[in-house]
Amino acid sequence: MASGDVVGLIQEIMYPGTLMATPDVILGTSTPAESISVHDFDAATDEYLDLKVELSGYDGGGFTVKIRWISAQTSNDVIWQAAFRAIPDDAEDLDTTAHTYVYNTVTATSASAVGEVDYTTITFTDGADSDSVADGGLCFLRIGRDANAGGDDMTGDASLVSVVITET
Amino acid sequence: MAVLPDADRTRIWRGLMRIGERYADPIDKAALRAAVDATDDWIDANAASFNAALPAAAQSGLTGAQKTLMFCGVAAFRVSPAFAQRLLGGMD
Repeated sequence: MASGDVVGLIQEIMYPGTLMATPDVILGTSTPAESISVHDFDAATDEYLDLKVELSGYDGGGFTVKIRWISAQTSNDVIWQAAFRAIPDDAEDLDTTAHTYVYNTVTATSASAVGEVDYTTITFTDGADSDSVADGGLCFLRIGRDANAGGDDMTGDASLVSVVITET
Repeated sequence: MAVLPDADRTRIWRGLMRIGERYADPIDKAALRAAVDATDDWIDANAASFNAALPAAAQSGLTGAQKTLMFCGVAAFRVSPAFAQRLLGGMD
């Protein structure tokens, strides 16, 4: 597929056993009001979400993970982090094999108004950087907020609205 | 009473960040934590002064915990009546 095309089909959100980002709803003001589903990432504790992803049409390039989020404040930064775990055919024993996620990060500045959606991206190269995921294969994409890092200085939750996985 | 343990100050800091969600708060996490520490330091340094400002009956008749609760009630009302009501319960 060409660069920029969506290659990750997000099938499901999976909640980690601990430190999960919590589901929340931001109410719109239309009539009737939109109930905008989000997941809140804490400001003091690193929290995570796992996405079950099938790769389709992936041509072996890098990945651009697009993160759309709403900040609780109008200034300061959030550090988003993401990492892939490849689940190849007949190879990864999920209930016995611990995987060490190696994160790529981006420091995203909060939008200029609470309620506005900020667009930010995390990029991966092909190969080890994205755990050698392959077209037609299953993988997990773990999204997190590195809240305890010094560069993450925004007080309040970061609310994840959506994630898109494209080929870079 | 001495200043609060670091772990307790951290709990206050975390709680303030949660209660502050969806409000435009321009200070960053480090500055908020420094403010929590400074507030606790100030309360500790001025506890005797606060006690001295109370009427004699309250000075001698209320326990330390009761005086602290009264301080919190008045301060909470300065945030908002609704906030004070959550703290104090029934309030006309």
